[in-house]
Amino acid sequence: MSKDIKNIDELFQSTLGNHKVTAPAHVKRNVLAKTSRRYLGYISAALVAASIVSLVIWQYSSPEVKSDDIAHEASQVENPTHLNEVISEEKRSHIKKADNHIESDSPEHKIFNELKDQSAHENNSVQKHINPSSDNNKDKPTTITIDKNKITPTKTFVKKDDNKTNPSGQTLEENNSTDSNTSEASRKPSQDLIIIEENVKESTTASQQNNESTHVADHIKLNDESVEITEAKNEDRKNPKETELNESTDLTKNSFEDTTLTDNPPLKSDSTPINIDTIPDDFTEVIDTSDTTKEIALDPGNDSKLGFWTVGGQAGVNINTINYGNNDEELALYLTKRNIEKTGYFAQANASYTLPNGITSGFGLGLEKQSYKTIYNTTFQNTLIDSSLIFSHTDITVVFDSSLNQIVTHVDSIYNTMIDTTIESGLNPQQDGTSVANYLTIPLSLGYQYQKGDWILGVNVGIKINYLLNQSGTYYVNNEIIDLTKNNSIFSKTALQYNISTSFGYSLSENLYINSTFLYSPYSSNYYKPDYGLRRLNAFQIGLGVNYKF
Amino acid sequence: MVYDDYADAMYAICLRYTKNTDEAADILQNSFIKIHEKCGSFNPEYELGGWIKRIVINTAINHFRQNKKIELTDNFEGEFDTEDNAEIEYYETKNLHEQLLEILKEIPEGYQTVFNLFVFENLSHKEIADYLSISESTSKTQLFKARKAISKKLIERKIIKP
Repeated sequence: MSKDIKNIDELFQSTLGNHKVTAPAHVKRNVLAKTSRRYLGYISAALVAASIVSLVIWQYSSPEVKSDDIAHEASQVENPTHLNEVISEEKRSHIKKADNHIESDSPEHKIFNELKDQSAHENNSVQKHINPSSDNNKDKPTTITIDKNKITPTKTFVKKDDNKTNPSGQTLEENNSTDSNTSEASRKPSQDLIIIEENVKESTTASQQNNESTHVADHIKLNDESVEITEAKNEDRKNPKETELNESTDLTKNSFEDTTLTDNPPLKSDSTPINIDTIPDDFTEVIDTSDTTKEIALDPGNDSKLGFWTVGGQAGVNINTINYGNNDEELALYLTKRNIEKTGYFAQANASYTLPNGITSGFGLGLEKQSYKTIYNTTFQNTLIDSSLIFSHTDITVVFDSSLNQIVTHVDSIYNTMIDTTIESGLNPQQDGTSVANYLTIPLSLGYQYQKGDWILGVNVGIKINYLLNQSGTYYVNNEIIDLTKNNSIFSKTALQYNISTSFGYSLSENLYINSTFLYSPYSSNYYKPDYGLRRLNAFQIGLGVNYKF
Repeated sequence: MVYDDYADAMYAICLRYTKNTDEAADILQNSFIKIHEKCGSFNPEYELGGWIKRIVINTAINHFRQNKKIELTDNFEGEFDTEDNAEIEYYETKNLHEQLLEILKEIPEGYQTVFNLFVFENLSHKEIADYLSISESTSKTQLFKARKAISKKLIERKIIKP
C-alpha cells in the first residue's frame, strides 16, 4: 500500500478503486437466458408478422396469376388452331367452289392468285411479329373476302368488339379500314371475281395479353352478292363486353349487309363454323340475342381462389395464475396464496383474412384489464407481553426503648402486589392488497378455419403484444408493500405472450356469425421487470364475439 | 463479450453498494440486462466502461429506491466540518480489500451510498444531492457520519491508528 495515503477517502480509493471480484457464474447464465428469451420473442413476432405480410402479398399478387390463367384459358377458348381449322375448312370450301367457277387462264384467276399470295405473305409477316413463345400469339384477326358471283345471296355477319383498341394499339377502325380497303379492292370491276384475303393483324406481347383484349376477327366478305363474316372475339376479364347479334339481309339492295355479333368470346363448344350455304336467301330476321348477353366466366375456378375478410369484436374474461418459479418457498412465508389469481376482462377488435384453403391470418387491437387480489401474510406479528410485577411494601417501626436502652425494631406491615399486564401490539397479520394493470393489446395470429354447415371451427397460434397503459394499487415485494406508480412499478412496459386458441362459431346469416374463443398462453414471464424474479403467468382467456365476413 | 470484460469490475462496484452478495448479484444481472437493452443508445465516442459503470450504479441506486432502503435523514444538529477528513496512520493489514468491503456493508446504507458516490465516483455534494433527490446539506451530513463510522471501525479492526 502506498504510504502517500493521507485519509480514509484515499485509503478506500486506492484499495477498492480498481478492485475486481469474480462475478457469480449464475449471473451470466441468467443474463444470457433473459436476453436470448427477449431475442426469441422478437424473432417470433417478426416471423408471425412476416407470415401475415407474405400471405397478404401472395393474395394480392394472385390476380397476376389469374391473369395468366385467364390468358391461358383465353388461348384455349380461342384456340387458333381450332379456329384455323374452322376457317380453313370454310375457306377451302369456298375457294374450292370459287375456283371451280374461274377459268385458270382468266384474268380473274390471276388476280385471285395474286391476292392469295399477298394474303399468305401478310400472314407470314405478321407471324414474325408474334412472340412464338406465346400461345396467344396464334390468335389473329383474319379477314376473308370472297367475291362470289351469283353463288350465294348477300349476307354479312360482323362480329364486332366494343373494345376499340387492341393490345398493340391498333384500333378496330384500323382493322375496318383495312377491311374497307380490301373491300375496295374486292369491289373492283370484276364482279365474278372471288377474292380471298387473309388479313392477319395482331401484334401483341404476352404481358399485354394478360390485361388487354384479345381479338380474333374473321372477315369473310362477298362483294355484291357477298358474305362477310367478321368475328371479333374479345376477352376482357374485368369488363366482359356486351353481346349484340344483328343479322339482316337486304336482297333488294343487293348490298353489303351487317350482322354484328358482339359477344364474349365463345367457348370451344360455341366455335362452330358458319356454313354460308345453309343460310337461306330470304334470311332477314333480326335475332334477339338478349338472352345470350351474359358474363362468361373465363376461369370459373378463379373466384374460389379468393378468400374473405372477417372483421369483428370480442369480449371476455381473463384468468391468470402466477407461478413464482424458484421463489415459491420464500414467497410461502409471507403470502397466504402463493398462486395468486389474476382476473380481469378484455375487449378487442379483430380483422382476419381467410384463404379458400382455410388458412387464416389475423390481427387486432384491444384493451385488457388485469386485476390482482393478494392476501399478504405480513411479517408484522402480534406481540404479547406478560408482565409480572411484585411490589413489596414494608412499614418498619423503629422504637427506642429507653427502659431497655436499645432500639427495638418492629415490622408493622408487609404488602405484596402482583400485577399481570398483557400488552398486545402489532398489525393485523393479514392484509389484502389489490393491484390493477391496464394493457393495450395487439394480437397477431395464424391458423386454420374449417366450416361445415353453419358451424365454424378454428385453431390458431399467435402472439400478443401487451403495452402497459397504467396501473394502480399496492404490491408486496421484498418484504414491503409498495404503491404501484409509473415510477415505482414491478411491471414491464411491454410484454409478449405466446398463445394457442380454438374458436367455435355459428353462422347467423351468410356473412354474420358469432363465436366463442378459448385461449391459453403458457408461461408468459416478461410481464414483470427482471428485478422481480422468475414470476410467470399462465393465462387463460375466454371470449365471445360477433364477426362479419365479406 | 462485454459481460466477460466488465462483469468482475462491475460486481465489485455492486458489492460496495449492497449489504450482501445476493443483492449484488441481482443488481449485476439487472444491470447487464439493461446494458443489453440499451446498447443501441450507446454513443461510441464515449468510453464503454464508463457507460457501463454508470448503468450499474444507477441500477443499484434504483434498487434501493424501490425498496425504500435508503434512509437519508437530515437531523444532525450543530456545527461540523463537512470536509473533515483527518489524516490517518495505518498498519499493514492482510485482506484489506475484504475488510474495507465489510466495513462498508456494516455502516448504514445512507452513509454507504453517499460515501461511495463521493469517494469512488468523485461526485460533488450538489451532484449527489441531485442524484439522490436530497438536499446538499443532507449529503454532507451523511458523508461526515460515514467517515466517522468508518474511522471508528478501522480503528476497531486495527487498520488505522487511533
